[in-house]
Amino acid sequence: MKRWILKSGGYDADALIIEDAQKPEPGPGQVRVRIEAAALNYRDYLVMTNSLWRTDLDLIPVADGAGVIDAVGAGVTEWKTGDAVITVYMRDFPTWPPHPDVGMGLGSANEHGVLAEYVVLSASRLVRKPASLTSIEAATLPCAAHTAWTALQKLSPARPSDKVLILGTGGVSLFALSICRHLGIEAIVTTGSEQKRERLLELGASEVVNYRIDPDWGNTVYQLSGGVNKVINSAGVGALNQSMAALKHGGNVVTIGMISQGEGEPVNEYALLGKGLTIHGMPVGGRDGLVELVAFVDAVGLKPVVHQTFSFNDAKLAYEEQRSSDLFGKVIISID
Amino acid sequence: MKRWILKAGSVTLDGLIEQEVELPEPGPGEVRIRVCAASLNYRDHFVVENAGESWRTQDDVIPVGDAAGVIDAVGEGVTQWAAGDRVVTVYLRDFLIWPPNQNMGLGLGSLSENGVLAQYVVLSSERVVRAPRNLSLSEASTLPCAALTAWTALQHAYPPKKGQKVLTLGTGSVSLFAASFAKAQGAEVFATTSRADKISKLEALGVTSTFDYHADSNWGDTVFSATGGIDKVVNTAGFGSLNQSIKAAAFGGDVAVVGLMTFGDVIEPASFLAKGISLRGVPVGSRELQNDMIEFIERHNIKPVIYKTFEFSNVKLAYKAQLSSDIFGKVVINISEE
Repeated sequence: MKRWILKSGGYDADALIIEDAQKPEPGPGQVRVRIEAAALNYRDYLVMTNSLWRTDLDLIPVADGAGVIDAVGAGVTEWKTGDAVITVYMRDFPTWPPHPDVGMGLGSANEHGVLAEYVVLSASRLVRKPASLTSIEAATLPCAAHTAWTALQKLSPARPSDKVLILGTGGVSLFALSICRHLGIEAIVTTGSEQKRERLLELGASEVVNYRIDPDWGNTVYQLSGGVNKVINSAGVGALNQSMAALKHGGNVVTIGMISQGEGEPVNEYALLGKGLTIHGMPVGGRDGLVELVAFVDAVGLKPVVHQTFSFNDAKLAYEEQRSSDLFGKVIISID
Repeated sequence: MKRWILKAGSVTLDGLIEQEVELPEPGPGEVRIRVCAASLNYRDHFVVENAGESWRTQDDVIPVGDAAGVIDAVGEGVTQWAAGDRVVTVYLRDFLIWPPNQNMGLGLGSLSENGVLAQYVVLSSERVVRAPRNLSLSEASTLPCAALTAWTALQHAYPPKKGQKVLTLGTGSVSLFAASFAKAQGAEVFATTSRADKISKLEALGVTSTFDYHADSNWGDTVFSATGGIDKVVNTAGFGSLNQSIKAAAFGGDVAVVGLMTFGDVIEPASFLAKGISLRGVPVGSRELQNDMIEFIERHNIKPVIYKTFEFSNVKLAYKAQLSSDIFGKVVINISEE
């Protein structure tokens, strides 16, 4: 079978090579999945280029996969061949809270990912794919959509009368916007790019605020909305104080993701205390949240925003496109 | 009646002056309380000094926010109270239920809100709650600010379950109340302190073990290794202690931020995210939470730690005692017989 690997010790695009390999066999408690589609996340670039994300393995990268079970190992009762599935990003994380061994996601460190024609995974590392999505669409869910779901529905859950502020237009943000629309929750979105405004309004944003033009965007959002109940912060600790400025009393900001590591400012104590705010940090989410999300997707007909799809052989082009400044939606690699 | 005021424009204890004035009368919706005892908080010195020009207006103000007393007159339309009711004050204004709001103020006895350092005070009928039956009014006077802050930190969100671990920082009164409440709930309590002579007092409150934050600037990691991670950190030290609090916390733990003693941490994101930590700002608490706390205090027979008690004429000595580095518990001022 064919698979892509990041060669041990290689930290640029040259390390990403396609090779032939033995079809893997599932051991006890495992299943084999014929992968039909895989989706990229921001972190896949970090896995390629940053040794903190790697061990000395030749690593099959990428975490988000959708496919069909084609072999079942001894003792596995929850799956049978033919079941359509998607991957669970974190390891051994059935329900909140996380713990030291959840790992950094499939396709990083010593956990082989899904950029291969066939992968073997623990039976609990999969959930059923939503019936209403194709494999290409479903492959987009494991990291970005799951993270958005946890941030909206599992930590200080948002209610239909709430207002939510979503920072930026990355994968998590666009899923958060879709989920809010389907839940009847008003969502304001920030972007640095005016070209994205129309599309955001079409996707259901009630307001779009440009953070490049308006560095005091937190206050602007507060004035526009009367204060939001929740901020989905994919912009890192550097965006915390502006996020808190946008919040109503008693509100919360959920901080996720990899951007602006450590470029933050000291937390504004008067905002946190005076408004009685909560700042959450969270890693993607527990498997039970992904099961809920799949049911929600089917119930409401949620569709991912797809930026571009590439063939398996063009995986390198997919990685490049993931870093495009025009990125709006998910980059998917089709393995059929 | 006698009362103490901070004279307009004064910024030292020289501005604290005793006066003899007319007895105030309760208006519609108000009650008059015969104040039996008051207690001091850390912030009362900020009020004297008008720290950051944030605590005073241009006018004289009666300082201090925490008091317990007996209702002796009710104004027109007041039905929830009657003369003889034992009450304690509610620290913040218009904060009946969560969430906080812009009108809360900085507590009785600051800005434009006259406080309780007087033999009689008149307050809105919503600005008092019933005093716990198991405490004297001297003891009950310690509750409005510090105890409620500890209660909100523990109970308002992510309350510790039996057998979970709670960490308190230092030996200020919020920490001591938090330790007592947490023990009563069946949690295991750990504490940081910089004073070896306070360790045995902490252990007498039920603290399992202590950690020295002064000798060990990486106390967060030390606490995590020794305990397996803390489910609830009551961070009374403040914003310069966020990262250490996060290090001490268990996965999925809650850091309740109370204090304004230390400043400046930029959150280190990697472990904040990986551990799934919640960081919550706790501004004292609501009247509703205060009533819950009072029920709990009665049910578990919680007693406050009292450091020193002073007579009403010795208010200035009380303020000085509040600054002592040996302080362990509340400074109480007795004002009239129960």
